[in-house]
Amino acid sequence: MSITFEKVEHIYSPETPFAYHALKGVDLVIPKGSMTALIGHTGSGKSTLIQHINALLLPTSGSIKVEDILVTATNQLKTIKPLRKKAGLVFQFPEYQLFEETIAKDIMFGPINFGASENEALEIAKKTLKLVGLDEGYLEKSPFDLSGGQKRRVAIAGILAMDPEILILDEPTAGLDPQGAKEMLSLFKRINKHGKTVIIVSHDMNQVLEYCDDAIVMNKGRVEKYMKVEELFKEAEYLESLSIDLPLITSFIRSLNENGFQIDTSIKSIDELVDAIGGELHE
Amino acid sequence: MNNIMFGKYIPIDSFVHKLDPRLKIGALLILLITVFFDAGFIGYGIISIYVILMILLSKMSTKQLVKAIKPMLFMMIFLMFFNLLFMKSGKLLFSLGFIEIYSGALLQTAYIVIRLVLIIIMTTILTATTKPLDLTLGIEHLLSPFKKIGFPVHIIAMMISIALRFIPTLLEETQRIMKAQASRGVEFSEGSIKEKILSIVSLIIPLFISSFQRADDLANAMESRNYNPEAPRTRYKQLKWRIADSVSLITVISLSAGVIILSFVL
Repeated sequence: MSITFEKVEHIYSPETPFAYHALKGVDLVIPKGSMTALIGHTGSGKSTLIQHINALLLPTSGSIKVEDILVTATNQLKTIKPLRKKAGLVFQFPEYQLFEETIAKDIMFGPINFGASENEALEIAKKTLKLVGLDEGYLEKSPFDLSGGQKRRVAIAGILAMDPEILILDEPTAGLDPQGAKEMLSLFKRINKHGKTVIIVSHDMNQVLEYCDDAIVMNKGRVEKYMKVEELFKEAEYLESLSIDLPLITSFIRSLNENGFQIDTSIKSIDELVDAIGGELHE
Repeated sequence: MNNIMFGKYIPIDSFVHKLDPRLKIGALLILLITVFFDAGFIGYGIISIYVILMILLSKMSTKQLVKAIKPMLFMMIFLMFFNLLFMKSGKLLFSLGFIEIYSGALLQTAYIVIRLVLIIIMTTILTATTKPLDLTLGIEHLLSPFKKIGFPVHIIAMMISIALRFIPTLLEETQRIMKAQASRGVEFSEGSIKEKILSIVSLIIPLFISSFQRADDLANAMESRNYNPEAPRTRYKQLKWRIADSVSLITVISLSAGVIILSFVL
């Protein structure tokens, strides 16, 4: 299910002293089944961009097309609701959206809103809870008794339960411990392998390099780059101008190369890097 | 939710923006009292002219004012409706079955609507031209005589400023949670009554939880900086009374006095 942005502009509070031009002429085609990172500074328009994909925000002008659903400035709610199911959006710190008495009910909330029966929803809840790494024993617990990391999992399960074709995550690992972050990202990768489109907003370039295929760089409301992750990290000067750090592996390879090695900077994993260094040393 | 204009500070530069907050609060109080004196259409005419002058001097746009009045429209129509139907004074003007409209009721209803519109506009001018913190500073100054009788002026002022400070934060939070729940298929504007109640619950519970969390964090932050409401304190921001303030005060007082006298004469 590809996503097409065409000349999308978004202005917050237009015609007031608070007016803010958040998106400027965004043209973008995100193919079905891709795993894309969205990179950029705070205030570069990332959150605004992703909220257009499930029509939480309507463009001031231009259009967004998600498969056969067209979103423009004048959309009605009826045409938007199917889109909300197709494109699941997980906000930053999604644990704030929990409200039900039990975890089961909270996860069932989304599916029921989109027309599932109680029983179907309960089955879905059991499956998704397992998917995010919590066992069935949690189903009847209150979501407010959980730790921060567990709350996050339950909240993400609440979106996954809707079985969206497109999964959009706004900094899903912010505030998680490294182990928890790794598990979450592996989960998203698995979901992506099942043919779903995944878009992740991230500030951690190590994660971007390890888990994502493509990267979109936003700056001041414009999409400046859209390329393969390996290609992007070759442009060290450009990234530096946006004060985006290189991933550890890439910057390590660069320092090696500055000192006489000739290692491919598009290497993604430590194992490959070890082989490459070993190979050069043998020569 | 962003469209809520009522009580929002608009950061521009104007004559009214520069006035002392103490004057603005005092003048508002005087004018609010004056509005309730019945000086006929002449009285309301005078006040309206003054309010229009204030609008011009504060550089507010009509659009912003319309936005401020809009949320009260329902209440106004409600009041109009009941006043027209149930007040029975003056001449009978119109009757259709049980509906009877009297001339006195028509007049009273017109007054009520005019009063409400004037009150809303005047309050909007105050909040649009005065930063929330200046507003509390002004209130604290105006209330300071009551310190002598043991009234906790500083604590009240602190409470008001915290409340004002968190209005935009709570609105933002509300918007965020609404969007998060909308992503889970909630429609806040449509559906049966049962669905509507559930959608409101899905908004209010997270909002309460995060508000308590915030309150707790704020209390801890204040305590860790050794906040003591009783301690004597100095201020970084000093209020300065200027000639423009005195002139404005005299204008407001004479205008109000005029209208009040008029109401007794008529």
